[in-house]
Amino acid sequence: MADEKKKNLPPEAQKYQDFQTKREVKRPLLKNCIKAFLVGGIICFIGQIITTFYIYNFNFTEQTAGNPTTATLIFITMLLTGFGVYDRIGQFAGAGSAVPVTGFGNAVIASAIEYRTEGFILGVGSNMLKLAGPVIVYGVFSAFVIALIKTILVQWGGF
Amino acid sequence: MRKSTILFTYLILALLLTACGNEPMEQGQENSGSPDVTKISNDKLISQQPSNEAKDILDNYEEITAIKAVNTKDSLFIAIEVEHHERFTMSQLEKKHKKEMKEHFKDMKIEFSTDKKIVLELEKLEQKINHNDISKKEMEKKFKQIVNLAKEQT
Repeated sequence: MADEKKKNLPPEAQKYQDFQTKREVKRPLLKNCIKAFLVGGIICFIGQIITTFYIYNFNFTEQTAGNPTTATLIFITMLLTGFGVYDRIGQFAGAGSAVPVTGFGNAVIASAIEYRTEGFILGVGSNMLKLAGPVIVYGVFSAFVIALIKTILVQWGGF
Repeated sequence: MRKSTILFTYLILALLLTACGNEPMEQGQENSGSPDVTKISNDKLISQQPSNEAKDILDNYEEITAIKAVNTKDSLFIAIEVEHHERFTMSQLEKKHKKEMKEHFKDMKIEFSTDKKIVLELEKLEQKINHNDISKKEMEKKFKQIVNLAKEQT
């Protein structure tokens, strides 16, 4: 598909594209993956510590401790985002800091801070979920699709 | 740039090597020790005979690392902990052992859990019963509380 697109371009543009692919600094893919893996792992490790803390010290079971853990992690992210630390973590770790729930929290809080100057309703209120909205939409949608697949397998497949 | 790459490689190597080095030792320790079971003498407020029987049966399975059980007059609550890598098949294990217990104690209501919190709570209750720190009424109340806690979904 990319090749087809390239053929339609004028020759100068094709030349330029060849030139720029040669000069482009290559992304250190493996290094990025390792960084994301480690930082994501550390975030999940902290989450596990919080879960265990709630199980041992409060009246939560393994099943129910997930909700307060998420809330605590998002609260910590809020502080880190406000102090500008999470940006640096994001710069270093990439997907490792975006995929866990802290990334979702960061997306909401960062836009809330950013649009603060435009007022509380048309600024913060309407822009807060600009980035996080799609996450919710596609999260719900993919959950629906998975549930559909599971239902079909269980009902008709006999698993 | 280069320095950080070397540092990174070392870090990864260290992580991988320590992970591989520890595993067999931990497994050895786990296998050599029997599961964490404390039996309660039968002459307490409510005879803990069914609980002890359940512990005896579940003791035979290698994958179970801790068994806690308490019973009232007509119901029995068992909580187990399984070896960490067995957690992948935990729901099947839970089903299997629950069925087994139900078949063995036909006249009792069986509650079964693999939740860490339930294990902790039952352990506390076991100790209280063992030290005679709790009245019959209190114990039944606590038992009911734990049953409700185990049923909580959100």
